[in-house]
Amino acid sequence: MIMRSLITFITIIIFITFIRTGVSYAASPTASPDKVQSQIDELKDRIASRVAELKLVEKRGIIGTVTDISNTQITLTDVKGDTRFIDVDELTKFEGATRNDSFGISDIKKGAALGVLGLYNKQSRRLLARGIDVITVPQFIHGVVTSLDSENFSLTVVSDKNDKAIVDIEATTKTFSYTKVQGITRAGFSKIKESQNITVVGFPDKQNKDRVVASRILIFPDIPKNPKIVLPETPIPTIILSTGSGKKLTPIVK
Amino acid sequence: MILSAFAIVVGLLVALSAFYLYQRTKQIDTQKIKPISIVPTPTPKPSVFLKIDTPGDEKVFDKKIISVSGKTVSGAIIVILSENSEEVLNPTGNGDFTTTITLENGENLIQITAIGPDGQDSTVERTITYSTESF
Repeated sequence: MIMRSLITFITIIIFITFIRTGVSYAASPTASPDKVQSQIDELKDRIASRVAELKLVEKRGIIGTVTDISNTQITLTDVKGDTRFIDVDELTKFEGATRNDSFGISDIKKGAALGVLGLYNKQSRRLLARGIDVITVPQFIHGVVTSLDSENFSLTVVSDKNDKAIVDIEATTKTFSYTKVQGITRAGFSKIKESQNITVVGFPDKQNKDRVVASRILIFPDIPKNPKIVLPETPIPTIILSTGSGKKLTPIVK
Repeated sequence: MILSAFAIVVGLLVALSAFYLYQRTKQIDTQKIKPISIVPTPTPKPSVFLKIDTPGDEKVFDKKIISVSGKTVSGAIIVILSENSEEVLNPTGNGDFTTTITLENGENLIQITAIGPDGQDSTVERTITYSTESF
């Protein structure tokens, strides 16, 4: 009887010991909640930092004309006239107009027009270039036709800022006319009239930078000219007075 | 000697009195002053506005066909020009418009112009890039 009680007692003791050990083992992973919390905090910080970084930097593409250049930086004036700073590193790819593989930053000259694709940092307002192309920027001219030269197939357009542009029509120039009834229809040089609203897409003439070679022209015969645009006064033709006898009077020149 | 000094003093006094009286005649009668009101010439408000909702300037797209949308005045027409295409569209009655354009590879300069019924216009330019490169 005593023996049975002793065995039972020892069994209970062993059982309790195992249970306590088990509890002890089960409790070990949650034994350092501070460490787990610090890991969570660290992860949170890394995510927040990455999110902020992603928000701060975004892909952008800009077009501009080179005003200054060094080995690691290009300064551009963009199409709005703002100054932009472009950073160049060893990952930046260059592409010239002639698709030459050896084209690099040293081949870019002041005054060249560039298209730049890269990572824009909103804080520093700088663009880290990933791709730079030498491009030809199209010119858009919107205004009123002030004169036509049928012999040379050219016309003069004045914009609402009173900028004057001489536009040359080439054989490749596509001319269209837009009316509300007919929409866009093909037209020719003969359809262009003075005082007409006109939009021109073209490129600067390589020989004469004051002139624009039109690639496409769109005229709007239905729409009146912009009232802001003041047309130059047409010169009054010189009338030579006649005596009636057929002899023309000429001014006396001393 | 004293007489000549006295004469000089009297002369000076007479001259000063004459100068004072002359200056008093130059005073302007405040009742005769007419108030001048300067009315500033009002700057004529442009009759056409143009607001582009999409695309944002300098955005990079990995699809060639993108949406162009915005708002202008009722009755205006919208002209969208790029290097190789032109499109003219009529906005809805409240001036909203939306269309799609096809981008060329690389950087595209897009000009959007609203031309009002009276010929006045408003222009917005956008630089849009087509690229599938990931960096």
